[in-house]
Amino acid sequence: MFDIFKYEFDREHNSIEIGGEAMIFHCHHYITNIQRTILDADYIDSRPFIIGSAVDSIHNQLTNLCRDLNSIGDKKQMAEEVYKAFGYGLIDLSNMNENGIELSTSKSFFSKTWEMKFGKSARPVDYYTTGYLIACLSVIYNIPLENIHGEQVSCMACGDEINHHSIKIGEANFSIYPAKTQTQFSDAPKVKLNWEFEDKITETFLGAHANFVGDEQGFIRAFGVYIVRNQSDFINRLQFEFIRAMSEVAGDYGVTLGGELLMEAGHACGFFTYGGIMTSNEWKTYVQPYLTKKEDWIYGLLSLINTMGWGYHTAIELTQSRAIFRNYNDFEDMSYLRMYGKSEYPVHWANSGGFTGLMQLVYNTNLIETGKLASEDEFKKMRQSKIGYRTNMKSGISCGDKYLETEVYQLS
Amino acid sequence: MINVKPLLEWVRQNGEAKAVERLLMKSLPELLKFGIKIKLNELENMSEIAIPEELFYKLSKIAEDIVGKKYV
Repeated sequence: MFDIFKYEFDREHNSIEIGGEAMIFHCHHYITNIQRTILDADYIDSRPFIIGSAVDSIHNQLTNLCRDLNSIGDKKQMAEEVYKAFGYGLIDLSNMNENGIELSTSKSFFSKTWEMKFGKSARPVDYYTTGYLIACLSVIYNIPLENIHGEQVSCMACGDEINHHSIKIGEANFSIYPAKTQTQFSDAPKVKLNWEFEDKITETFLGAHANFVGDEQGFIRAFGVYIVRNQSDFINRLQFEFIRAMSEVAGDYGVTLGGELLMEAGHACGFFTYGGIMTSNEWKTYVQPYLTKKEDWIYGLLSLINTMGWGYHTAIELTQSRAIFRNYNDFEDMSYLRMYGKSEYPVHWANSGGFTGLMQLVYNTNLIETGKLASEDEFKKMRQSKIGYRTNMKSGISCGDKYLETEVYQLS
Repeated sequence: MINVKPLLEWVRQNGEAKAVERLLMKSLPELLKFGIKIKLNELENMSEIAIPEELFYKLSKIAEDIVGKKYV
């Protein structure tokens, strides 16, 4: 029923939309990191916005995907297949009725990868699936979100045997957001990569995103990480709501502190996922033959990831000591504009952290020489060092600029 | 008053990436209660950051939770 090949990649804006939602990939390093950062601030009541962010995007998406489906059974099947295809695990909605659902599952991306990354959690971590089920109940049985109550009552990340979510009719216990606007792509002319093989690499990987769908367990294992296809507005709203809350607690200081930690999540993502790509067979076969100097590894990576829906990445300057990266129509700014309008400060923490992770990977590890990616312990040691790259978020589309621009530099 | 710089340096050396920022974020309400905002650039440029003793012990406890070791 759900067929990823139905959804065409937007080559002009380097994006992909499914059921009215912009979609982006993230790896488990990023997702677990960002969620832990938010939960660490336990003086912020984050549960309503974590679930609410998921509900909002999924509700919009399932409404669109189920629009032409007539039976409840078909709608349930669509929702189950989408969940699995996007890499979140497995859910069985057969017991859902107009009163809700008591759902158990042993396949959960969030619970599995949290434990992989951090060990046991003191509290349930699969807020996304609670939100997913709330949205399913609302769309399938046409129940207003205000009348649905959901919670996760057991979690494998806490040591429970199974994840259990309880979705009932009752007062909503999550944030409900106003409708968002259409995507406002920037029409700024792109400065392309100054590299002769860019188009060749991009053409080779165009459409490759469709290969990343959940396996029989509902997981997407690729490049040595678990990835999920996120509703971009879900994951980005988490960042925006978290920073808004940090701002309420401590003003600009809260924004800076929270932003540093969000950027670190992007850094880990850039390091491990880009590193996984650079050590993959696909890279060795289709990209590596065109690489001679270290900078080529960065150009090759940017040419490849421009087919993944994150916007158009390019490098304006690139040396070992300093780089200026741009992204035209980056997913974070596009999200911000859709949901909040103009921003007073740059909001592209994931993109900027990703650029920094890429520089670290190419210039501060021996990946190119050995073909091997540093371990989690080596990454930790590298990040503990004072020697490394710094990140300066120079401009952002949601701030009124034509493109995202980030400077990554070494301290002299 | 106690100099918190050695504690923060210990967290940086023994914790994961951005462990110091994590400590500051988890401790934010306590820091604000004492009217203290430790800026990230101060961590590198200042040799001493004096904070009240009571706050120091609260920070130490959170630091030990983050690092998973006893601070001695």
